[in-house]
Amino acid sequence: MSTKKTKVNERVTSLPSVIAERIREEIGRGTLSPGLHLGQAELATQFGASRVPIREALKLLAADGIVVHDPNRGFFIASLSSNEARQLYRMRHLLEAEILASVEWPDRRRLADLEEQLERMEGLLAGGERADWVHAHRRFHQMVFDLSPHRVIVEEVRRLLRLTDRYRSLLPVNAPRGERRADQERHLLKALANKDRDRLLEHFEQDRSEIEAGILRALLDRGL
Amino acid sequence: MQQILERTLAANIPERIAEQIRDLVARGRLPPGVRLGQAELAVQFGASRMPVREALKLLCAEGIVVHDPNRGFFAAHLSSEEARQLFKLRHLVEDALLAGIRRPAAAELERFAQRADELEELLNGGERAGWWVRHREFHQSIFDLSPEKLIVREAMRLWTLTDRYRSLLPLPQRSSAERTLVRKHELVEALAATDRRKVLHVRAERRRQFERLVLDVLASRNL
Repeated sequence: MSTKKTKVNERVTSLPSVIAERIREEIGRGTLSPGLHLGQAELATQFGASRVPIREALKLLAADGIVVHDPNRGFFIASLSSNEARQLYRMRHLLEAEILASVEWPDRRRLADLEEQLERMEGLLAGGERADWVHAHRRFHQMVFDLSPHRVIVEEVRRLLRLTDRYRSLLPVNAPRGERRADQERHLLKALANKDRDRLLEHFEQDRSEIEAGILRALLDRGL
Repeated sequence: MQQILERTLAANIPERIAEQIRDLVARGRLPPGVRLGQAELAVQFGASRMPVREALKLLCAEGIVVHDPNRGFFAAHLSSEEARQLFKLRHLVEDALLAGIRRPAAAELERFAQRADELEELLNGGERAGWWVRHREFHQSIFDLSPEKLIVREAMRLWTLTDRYRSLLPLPQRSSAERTLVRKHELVEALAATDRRKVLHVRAERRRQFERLVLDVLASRNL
């Protein structure tokens, strides 16, 4: 398990939250696979922490449904299922549409920030750095959500994203749709610059349903 | 066996403490913004600090409690801005959920009717705590008619978050606008008639009226 420092959300400050964030990332990367038993002692050694914050981190993940707790057998990475994925995406569909409907049009400075992020993503794609691209892709969408004044709803979507994140590890590392995917964000940026809400929603939905379809295919292939 | 039982009970202590804190918050005993001292709570619940801390962390994940690394745990604040957004989420999620519920069996319907009667009795007796728990259970059991268990879980999470706002309202013991609102018989009748549109309509209407009551109280308190 990698122990390199990871970027964490600024709200996340306590040790258990930092550990939880790192476990979440390992799951997202696919290095911790569904169904795996999470030994508290082993995790404590890996993170160089005592067992108390490890246990708290696992409880946090259990509250999110990413980890399941069996009082007798301990903690496990929750299994993946197409049924759950469909429901998660249904929730995201509902909530994200609500956020996009309330997005305030970005000023020049914000547009420039988005443009810069987009260029970063294109650079990563060109370099074939899939894992970093997934992060940058997430960041770009987060920047769009942050244009909405509805903080409570944005926070809920952030939770749902954390839950769908672990499904993304099912997608092939070298998705053949690289160029097309970068185009999708170009369209989003253009819709924001043109203050075109219909196009914004349309491209967002397209991007998400492509990912959802890929995930569901991968799940069904595995009989999940 | 004994050992397994003890371990199971031990594992559930934080969850049980969380349940009690949730109840105290909902009843207004722990008002918004109040500091939740771990030592005091440990004494109050006759538990050690570890499970109390775990319970507070669980409540943080639910949004009922907020944590400041330097100052500790606090009951989350209430605001009309937050309430509006939470209700918006509930409208979206519950409408989607109720559109997919299955037809309840005869025995289930009977149970719903019984529960509706029980709720009325608890209100008549002014039993706030009991009513609160049963009211939540009633809605959980209606949501459970949906096969989408994850969405049910999310709906209950949002329900819990808006239910905190109920602490602003008095318990509707006598006939009043709110008393009509919490009466479940119309909903049970719609379920019995397997009229899904009616169920959706009744639920949506009640939810919106509850939202208005909450927003009025918040406005009157400048929150």
